[in-house]
Amino acid sequence: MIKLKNVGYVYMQGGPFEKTALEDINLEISEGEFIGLIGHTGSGKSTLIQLLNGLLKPTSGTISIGGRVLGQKGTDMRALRFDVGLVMQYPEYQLFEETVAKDIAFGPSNMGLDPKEIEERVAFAANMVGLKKELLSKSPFDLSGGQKRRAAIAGVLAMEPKVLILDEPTAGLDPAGRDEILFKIKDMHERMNMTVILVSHSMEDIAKLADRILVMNHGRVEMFGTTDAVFQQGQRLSEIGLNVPQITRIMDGLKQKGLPVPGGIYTVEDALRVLIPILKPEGNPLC
Amino acid sequence: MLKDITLGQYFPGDTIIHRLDPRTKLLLVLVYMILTFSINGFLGYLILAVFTFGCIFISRVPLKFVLKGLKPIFVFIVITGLFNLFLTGGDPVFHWWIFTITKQGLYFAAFMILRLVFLILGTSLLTLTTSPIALTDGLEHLLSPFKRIGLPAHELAMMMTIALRFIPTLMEETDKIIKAQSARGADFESGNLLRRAKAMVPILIPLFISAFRRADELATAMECRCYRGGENRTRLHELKYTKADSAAWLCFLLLAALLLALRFLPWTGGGAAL
Amino acid sequence: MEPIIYIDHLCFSYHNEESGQDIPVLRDVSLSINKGEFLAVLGHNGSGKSTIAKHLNAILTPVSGRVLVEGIDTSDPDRLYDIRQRVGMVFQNPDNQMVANIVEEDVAFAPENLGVPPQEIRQRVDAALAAVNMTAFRRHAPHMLSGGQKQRVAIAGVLAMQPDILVLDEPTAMLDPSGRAEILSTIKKLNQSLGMTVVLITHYMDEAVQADRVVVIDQGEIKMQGTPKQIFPQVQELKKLGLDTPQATELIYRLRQQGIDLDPAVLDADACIDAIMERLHSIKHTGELS
Repeated sequence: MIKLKNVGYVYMQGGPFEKTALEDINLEISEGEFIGLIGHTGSGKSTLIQLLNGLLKPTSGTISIGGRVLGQKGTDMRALRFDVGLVMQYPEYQLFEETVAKDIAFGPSNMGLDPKEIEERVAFAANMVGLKKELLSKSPFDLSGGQKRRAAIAGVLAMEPKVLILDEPTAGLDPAGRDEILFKIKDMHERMNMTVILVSHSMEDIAKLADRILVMNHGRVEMFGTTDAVFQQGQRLSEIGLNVPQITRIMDGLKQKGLPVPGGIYTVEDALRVLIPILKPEGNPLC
Repeated sequence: MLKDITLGQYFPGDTIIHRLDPRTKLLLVLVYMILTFSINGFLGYLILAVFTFGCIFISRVPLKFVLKGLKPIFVFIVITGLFNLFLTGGDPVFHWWIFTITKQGLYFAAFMILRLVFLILGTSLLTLTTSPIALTDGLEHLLSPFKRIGLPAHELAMMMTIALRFIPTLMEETDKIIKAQSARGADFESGNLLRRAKAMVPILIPLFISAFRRADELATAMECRCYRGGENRTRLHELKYTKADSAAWLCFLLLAALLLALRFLPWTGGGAAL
Repeated sequence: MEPIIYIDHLCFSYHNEESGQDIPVLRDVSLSINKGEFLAVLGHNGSGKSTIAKHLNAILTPVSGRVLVEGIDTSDPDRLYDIRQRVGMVFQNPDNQMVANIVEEDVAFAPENLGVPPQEIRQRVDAALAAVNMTAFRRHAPHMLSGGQKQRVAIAGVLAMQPDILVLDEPTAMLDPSGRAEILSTIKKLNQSLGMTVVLITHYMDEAVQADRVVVIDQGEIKMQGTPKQIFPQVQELKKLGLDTPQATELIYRLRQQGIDLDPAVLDADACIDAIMERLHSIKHTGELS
């Protein structure tokens, strides 16, 4: 579905402020995968997602998405953007229409769809993110913070992209708002069979959702593997300044103390499954 | 990226020209402008040139930075020159079809071009050697006598400071909004003028809303930091006249005396002669 | 400890122009904040926690009830600037609280407003920048700084007023993890080494965990208060209020639900490991005895 070969990106190439943002990126993502993208600020992750939806063109290497090779002459960059939806950080700041419905319709109408189809898509997308019908006729500026965020996500979703990229969709939300958005994203992924790339600073969020995790560091791919495999390398993640979930640290700590627990545990549920047999007196291997 | 554009064209340094009080510099540039327009002989412009390039040399600002200031108005200078060249009446020296060039026209064109060039060089040197904050401070002080007739000197200066502070922020924000709308398939490039103007709406509305939100939050933050207008306010950097300022004034007085002498004393001859 | 801020039966409501109704935001909040303590006010968005913050330095004044800051009533318009100088306020968006385009000029803004003599402004600016570890950036333009650095400059800008109390209204909500860590360590340093009273408004439990005392707000009322060790083990109650608990605390809580006897007052990974190891030792012990 998505294939990057030797991709590099240099800002202001040739100028005095030249800055390499990405170097020699090679990766493949299959259709329907849920990828977690993580890395600290300046690791190149936001450059990477802008390349994927054609907001930037690679300065070296090739990107192909669904058979379309990006950066070649004649590539229709707008058509690419319809295939790869990008929800930017704090997307509620892009709302501008009189009503929520019109705002969600902005993307589909840019695609040149007929009004009936647009209407259907708006209704579908709004339903998908859990916006009630009566909100659609309201001004987007009268919504609550969490509702605005969901309306903005619906605006991208209504374009029905094959790939959906979300850049920190939970930034600034409280725990309840965060869990709601994450649940909706998981739901969309499952029901629409979309390829999803979720950028987040929160290891806990990514651990809950992703099939595979892509870790970026200094403009390069540091790790790219299954969630289990990535969390096995807790030590390395901490070294490059990423916060490992607390539960992983606990389990790694117990392992060091000689407890028979496996590495790479990153949810409370998994930890419970391992710990209960050890801590319950009956059937305790230590007794 | 947009945010890397440096604002104004301040060229930091620690020369005597950088250290001059901004009030001195503002007033001297005013005097300099008047002088530029009062000269009417080539000897006068030669003296002014020596003086100007002397100042640029002392300020250690690379010459190409100062000359860059001429670029945006180059066309304007050329057109002004041509107008003076062809539209001044007098003794013809050259004639072709409907174009006549006169001796007076040649002089006027040359003087006009020189005046504009020196005007730009002088003001560029001011902005290159004075930080925007110092300029604002200087202006506030110079305008404060006019407070009595209702001129809000402090408020104007505060507005300038805040504008300088927020221009990079808003440029960055514009960049983000353009990207966000492009990601939704917005098309800013094709179509006629009306279509393109309409395509700006999805950028302008979010930008305005964000600017108002910022203004609101900034106002609260300023109140929380006890802002209550210009009354009884002190400053971290008090403006103080130093010996360097007196020296600068003295130099200018000498320059002005010399140039005015050239113009009015009988032995130098008036008019457009050397 | 003596209270430095005293909130007495505070009620506040917004007037909604459209419906003509008053919408209550705070209902009968009473709270004492002690001198030198680090208090976290925890609540989800819209719980009223920011409204409490705005009452502490008279941006808002009570509809009924009183707020006293070092004995001064915030409703007294003549003492407005006395209160604002005593209670420094830092907001969520660092970009929207900086006035000048040079760091040290911005930090000087408050003392300039207070009419402090230039020499003393210089000292205050230097001290404030040193306290947040930003001295090296004093001549920088704010837009070239990272989010965490900007927010530290905003804190310095407030410190230059020499306040007794620092109120931070979700100061880390817009920052990345390293920025959040910078701000939190700055806050703790100000509290511990300079003895500053700190009120941190947040919805991040991992920040509240580090406070001396936590107050949980929901629907404009105080729902819980106590030390982090008293508050966070109440996993179920916090979940109901839309709040998180540390994974360590949650793990212990759920193990206890399984009938495993563990110390519930656990907030971090190390304490969690210790609690589990201790339990194992005692099992082993009883196992050997039987």
